[in-house]
Amino acid sequence: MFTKIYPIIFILLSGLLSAARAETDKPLFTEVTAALGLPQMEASWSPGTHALPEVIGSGVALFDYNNDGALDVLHIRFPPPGKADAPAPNQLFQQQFDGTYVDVTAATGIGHEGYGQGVAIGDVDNDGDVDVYVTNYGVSDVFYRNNGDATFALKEVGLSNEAWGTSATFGDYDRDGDLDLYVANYVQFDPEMVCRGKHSAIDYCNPKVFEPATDRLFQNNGDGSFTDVTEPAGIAAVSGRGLGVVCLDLTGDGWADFFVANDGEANHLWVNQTDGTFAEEAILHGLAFNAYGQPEGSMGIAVGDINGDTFPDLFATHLSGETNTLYIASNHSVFTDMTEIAGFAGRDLRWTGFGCGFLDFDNDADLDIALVNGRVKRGDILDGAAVGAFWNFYAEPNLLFRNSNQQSAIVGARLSRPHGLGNTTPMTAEGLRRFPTAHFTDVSAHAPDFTERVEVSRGMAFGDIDRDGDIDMVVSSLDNRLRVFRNDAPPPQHHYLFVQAITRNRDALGAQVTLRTESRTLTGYVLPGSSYLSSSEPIVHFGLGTIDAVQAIEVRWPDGSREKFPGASANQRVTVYQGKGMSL
Amino acid sequence: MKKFIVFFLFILIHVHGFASDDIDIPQPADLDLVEEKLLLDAVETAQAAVRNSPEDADVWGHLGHVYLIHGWEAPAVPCYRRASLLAPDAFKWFYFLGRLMKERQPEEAVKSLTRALTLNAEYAPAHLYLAAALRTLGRLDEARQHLEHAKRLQPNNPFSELWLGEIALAQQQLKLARTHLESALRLNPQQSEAHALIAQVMIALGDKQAAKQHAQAARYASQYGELSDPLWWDVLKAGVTASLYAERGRRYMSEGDYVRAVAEFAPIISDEQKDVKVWFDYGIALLHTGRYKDAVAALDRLLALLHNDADVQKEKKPDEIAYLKARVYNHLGQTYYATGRADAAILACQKAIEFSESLVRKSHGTEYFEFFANVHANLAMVYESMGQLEQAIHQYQKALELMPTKLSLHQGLAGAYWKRRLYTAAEPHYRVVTANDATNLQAVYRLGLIFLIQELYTEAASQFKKAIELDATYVRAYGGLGVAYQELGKLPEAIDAFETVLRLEPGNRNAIEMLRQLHERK
Repeated sequence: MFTKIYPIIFILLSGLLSAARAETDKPLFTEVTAALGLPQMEASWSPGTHALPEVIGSGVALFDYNNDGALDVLHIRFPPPGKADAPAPNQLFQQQFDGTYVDVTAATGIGHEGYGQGVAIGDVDNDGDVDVYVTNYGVSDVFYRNNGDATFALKEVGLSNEAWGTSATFGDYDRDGDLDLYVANYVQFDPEMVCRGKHSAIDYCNPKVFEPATDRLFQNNGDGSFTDVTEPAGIAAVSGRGLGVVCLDLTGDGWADFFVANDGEANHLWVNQTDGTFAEEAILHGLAFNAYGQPEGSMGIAVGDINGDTFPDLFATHLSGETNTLYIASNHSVFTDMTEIAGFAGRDLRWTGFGCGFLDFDNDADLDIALVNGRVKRGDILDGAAVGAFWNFYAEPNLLFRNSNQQSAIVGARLSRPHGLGNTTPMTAEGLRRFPTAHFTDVSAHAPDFTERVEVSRGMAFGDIDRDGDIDMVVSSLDNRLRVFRNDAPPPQHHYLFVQAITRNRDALGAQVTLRTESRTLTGYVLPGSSYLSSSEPIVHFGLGTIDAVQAIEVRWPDGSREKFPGASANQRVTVYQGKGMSL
Repeated sequence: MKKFIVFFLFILIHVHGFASDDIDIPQPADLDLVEEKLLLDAVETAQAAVRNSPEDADVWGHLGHVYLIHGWEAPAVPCYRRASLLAPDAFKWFYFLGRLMKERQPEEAVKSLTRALTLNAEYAPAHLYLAAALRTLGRLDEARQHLEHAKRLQPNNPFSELWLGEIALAQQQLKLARTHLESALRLNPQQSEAHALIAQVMIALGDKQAAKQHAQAARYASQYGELSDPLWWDVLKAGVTASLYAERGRRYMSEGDYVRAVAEFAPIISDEQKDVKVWFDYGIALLHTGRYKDAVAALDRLLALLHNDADVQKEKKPDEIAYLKARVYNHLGQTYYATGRADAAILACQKAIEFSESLVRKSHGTEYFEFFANVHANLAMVYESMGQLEQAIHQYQKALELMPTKLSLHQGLAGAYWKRRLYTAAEPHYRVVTANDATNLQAVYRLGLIFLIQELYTEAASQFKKAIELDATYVRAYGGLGVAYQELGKLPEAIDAFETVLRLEPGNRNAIEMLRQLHERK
């Protein structure tokens, strides 16, 4: 009997194992740029001329410009090196009903031919359609008002920034119900400056050889125009070489602050004083430096609650030789660099990180990390680099880390392991209580389309492009190349929920959304303006794992008020409106 | 024996692996872009040495040094690896490999540095770098052990305390973190990293005021903030670019070896040299070696660049140029003073002071204030040496306006007043000095004399006793004490004091006369 049955069981088991293995081995992300009809790079990019703007790159935005429910793509572009007069208009691609994209730049009128850098998306006039702000190098930034008829109009509304703008973000810092704008500025670049590496050959300058540029803060006047409040708000008090910025309450007082990632010097945390002014307190809040008290070359920023304590944690990308730094918030709004304890183990030390984001790519109810890389100084040419003889020296692969969702297991292991024998260290009971952390594992090998291409990537945006319940990614590179990566990671048993938070007829940028389930509390933020020079879908995505329903949705709105909304079953998009919930 | 065989096979496999490839010498990918002949020659020479002696660890190591110091880290790695295979008992190759890998592949760094420390456990920087690599890997306990070891080896190295504090902070052991970080700041009060971390500790401990003070201090770049690593000289010496000559020169200067510093700067000094920092450091190094004429020539050349060179004017901000000019004039003043040219020294210091007003007004920290206070004090010293005491007093007063709490300025001004016999004017400054530095013998004694003059005998006696506590052989203090006692009517005590004078200085005529008078009064 056994001899007959055993082979059958074996065959069945083999089949099951094969199926399981196939599931496991399936790439987590698949590049679908061409399939979506987005343009492919054909001609190779011009060799660099060692002018610093050439290595800063540009951003990309994922947003729904025409309110048709589908995510469109705005690609911010710039001319090739040494060809400043070659027009490189920004490009808008509209998603069609079949999921493919068509170029609608000309039809929409949004193709500014500047030297594009960053992009911020927000509905500044609360008219229900989103407007666009684009930062530039060399020419003034531009603002496009959405006409509501699938076209944009270039408008002078007081958003004048002549400096080298990089990342920008909208947010309602004064709680008056309309979106204000913060623009991070980089350096006062001198194109005639020639810099050399240690070996005396010309290379891109360290930004520190240039004076920092002062960031700008624009207050929305409520009538469609803006006032530059940089000086009276106190932002001019300290200048930095800003590359990334986010607008969110990071100090727990219900008022939006600005965190600015500065290149090669202390980051800035502009703490809202609630009277229209800000005080720079990054050092006091632990966000200025890394664990060693040293400044790093900060570029991109990701924000999310990675450890389920409802406080926003931050991740900033950095130069090679520096860690990409994970700042965990404690309840007294002080952040601690927990990079190594979170398991990165220096796996990203070799690379220079730019665009980044927390995303629950496998919908298992914890936030993972994706980031894109590319050097700013010449290095060895890596296997697989194919971006031209000049740029190959700068090309690097991207990285993907999975949050292994083993907080309790890790803590247990730490506590039970004798001193000196293990790789981890027990924390004090106080430390454990205040700093539940997450543990990240490098899963880059499982996403070869995304991670194995050796390129010089910069911008990165996130959103559910194909509306299948998981987060896809768009990446822009130094050669004006755009790549879209479809998320194929979540197993079918993993559920999700999207929450769109609306206030005053627009997305409630800066709102905190908390899901209550029987077993978990999950927190997310309406924060499209993060990453690097880019803007993501303005919605909060929650992976739920096997949880199939949430008991309640709580929102802390940008004006500080809190409301509770009814729960919802998984696998849908839920919209909550300020004023329609139960006040908390 | 078994270990030996395994090791032999290991060496055989690896060494043969390299050799079979006809000496596969790692190449910097962008060597073609280098135009500097000195560097190309250095690379070629080092590579030729490897081709000639492929079994020599030192030539591989040197090639690694040449690559590493010129910014080619990636090809340096296999060179050090090869050197460490060829000389498995040589500490330095494992050390350099580990140090280099720390910022690339910390796991590899841990292996190399651990091996290095089995060969030489007494080299503190190896413990520090190993701790840093372990820290990167999240192995905090092991990192802490190596930091403690480094601390035992080099108790005055602030990095051990700094990183111990950092680990304690990461583990939220706040009081322990505070202890370590305060120790680090005692060893280097200007280490901004320690200030940044302790600010976080203070916030967590609820002391926001202290946190703000440390946060403010953390905004300034660290002074003397580099981890001391004597072996790094081996690497640095392989550098052949101008910037590396200058770096070596500056390192020698920081070690007080000005002769070697001059030797490093000399090859890069020419009419084409437009790096004002090189000229400045070269001039200072010459000044310290006593080559005053050459120092003046170098500093004059620098002034010419600062005044006239278009590139320098473009590259540097006006304030930077102004400050550098002021510093040059100040050093010229010192040089002239050292060579007996007081008039020229006065002129140079005055020129430096001309920049004071505009720079001090823009000063964010105390740097300009302190610098110009020193220039005023230098000028005062020159005037004082020429007997022009009014001018000296005026300059000290200007200096004190900039740095009201600097004790040396109070002492200098008090000294000038003293020389002018303006004792009442000197008194408040000596009081400041003694209040802040009770061990300043001259100030304590002179304040006693001023009290005597003011007929404050009890206070005078107190001051002289303090002076005697500081130096029990200070004859003048006993004399002053004797006079004070005499005026207070304490004749036995006065006699004791003058007898002590005679014991310390037999035949002292004043003491003999005072004793005679005292015995007569008795």
